[in-house]
Amino acid sequence: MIQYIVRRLFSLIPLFVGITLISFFVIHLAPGKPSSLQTDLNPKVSLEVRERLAKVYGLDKPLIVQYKNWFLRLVRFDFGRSFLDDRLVWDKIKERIPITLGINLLSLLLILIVGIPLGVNAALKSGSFFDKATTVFVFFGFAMPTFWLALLLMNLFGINLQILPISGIKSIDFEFMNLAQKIADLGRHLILPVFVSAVGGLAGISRYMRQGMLEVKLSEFVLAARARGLPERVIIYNHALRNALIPIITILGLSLPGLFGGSVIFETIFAIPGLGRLFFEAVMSRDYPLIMGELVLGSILTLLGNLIADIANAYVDPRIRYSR
Amino acid sequence: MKIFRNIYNNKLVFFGSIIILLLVFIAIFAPWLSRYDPSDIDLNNILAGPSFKNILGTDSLGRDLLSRIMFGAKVSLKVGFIAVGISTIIGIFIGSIAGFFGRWLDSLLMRFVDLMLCFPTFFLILSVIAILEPSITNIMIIIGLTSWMGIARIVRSQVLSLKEREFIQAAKVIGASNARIIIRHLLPNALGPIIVSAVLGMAYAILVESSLSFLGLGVQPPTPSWGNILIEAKATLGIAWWLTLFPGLAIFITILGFDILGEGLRNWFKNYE
Repeated sequence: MIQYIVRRLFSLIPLFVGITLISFFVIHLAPGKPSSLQTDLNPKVSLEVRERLAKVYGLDKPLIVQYKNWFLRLVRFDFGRSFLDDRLVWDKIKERIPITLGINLLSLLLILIVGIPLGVNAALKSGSFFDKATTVFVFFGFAMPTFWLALLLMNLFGINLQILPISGIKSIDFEFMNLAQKIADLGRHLILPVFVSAVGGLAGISRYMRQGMLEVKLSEFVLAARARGLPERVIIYNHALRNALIPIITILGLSLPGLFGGSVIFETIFAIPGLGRLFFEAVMSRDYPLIMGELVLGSILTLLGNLIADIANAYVDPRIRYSR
Repeated sequence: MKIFRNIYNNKLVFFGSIIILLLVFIAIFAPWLSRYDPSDIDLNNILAGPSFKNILGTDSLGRDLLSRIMFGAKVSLKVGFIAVGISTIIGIFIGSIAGFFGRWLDSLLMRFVDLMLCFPTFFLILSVIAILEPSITNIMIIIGLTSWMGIARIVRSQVLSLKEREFIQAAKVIGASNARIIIRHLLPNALGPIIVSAVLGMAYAILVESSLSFLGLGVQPPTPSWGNILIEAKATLGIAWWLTLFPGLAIFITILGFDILGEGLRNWFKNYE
């Protein structure tokens, strides 16, 4: 097992280098130099200042050297300073990670505890009313634009019924609450964002779960388990589900970039101070160091997510552990 | 015919195509179908609810919502078609080369595909837009350049499974060039899955475009797009429900249409084999 994990870790290195290369390439797509954004808007900036800025960012050196320097700073988590307020990019990112990670984990949890039983039951009762209802839900979930769903729910629960807050993650009097009230307050603020960010994934997982279960249901080892007279519950949950779960883990790993991307949308709508909103603000103000930092970090988190998915897969399925 | 026997799947294809055809019709004939110009401002009639005069109501500048949604259809479909065109061409090109030539070229290209799949695509798209100005052309190109990986994988696996078959060997024996084998013999046999993922790709592209426009980083006003109409919906939440409901419904129905069509076609091609 450890050998497998180490091998997977090493295979991530070229991916990481590739990610940084593309990010670097993207930033150099910009017409003109990154430093000109700071100076173009300000006609008072003299040529000297421009040259000094170019030197600070190493823009007077060849691209390869620039990339090398940037990469070496990157592995030490040195993303430079934000154009906007001159704070370290890493500090700005660091304080926002818990919020975004927390919401995404909650939404993953919701996806799993609702999506898996939904798909399994739909497959077991395939053709039934429940199965058809699930299929309709899946289509709706896929077609629902996150931001529209968010607006509709804000309108219903926040404005018409007035039972849920529609922006931020805590109330103004948060500081004066006791622990139980604080948790309740956070929960009330998080219900809508978590639900909204989970809907797409929920549809996807229940659909794949249903497909996987339908295939496994007819396989020979399930027949063998049934022939041995095992109770139906054991057959389904210990034998069939375990096998049907393998592709689900991989799909979950692959859906991580989507979750992170989605956080830009729902964090902007619900005014949640997380990585997504930070990224949106960085894009709006063209804060290049921050954009680069978040782009690389988002990709690293995705890589880690894939790694965890692979390890989970190897844990569930010994065949993966021992293959090449 | 055998194809028409599977009623359920045909129902999907049927309803999906109806929705899409209707949409294409509206997009093409929007200037003749709509009663108002989508950018005609009428300050005496702002935020009016649905009525006989303005069937879906008006926005905060008194512009007719129905007309704006109809013209928005054009933008969405255009972005979808061109973005998917770009991603399909790239995907076919990379996938068939990787599958056909195999060896180091295959592993190199597939590592590149893995790499692209690792990027949080929406972050990447936003970064590029931050650098190049947000415009319809840029959006189409960027969505196309960041969504070809699925098609590349599908084409590659199809090519891999087909290239050892007898008819390909026969083509090689009579001296057909590699390009000819790929274009004339391999790709036509992979057409089904390519069409399915192109149709589903339309849904994806339209969703991304509307999300970008909603964030203000997509189609720029005054050009109406479903996403940028919804910007105003957020500002008038609780005041003008029609501004929230109808543009969102348009996006929802469109994506649903492409999803249904894609799903139906997938089953259709599966049965056809």
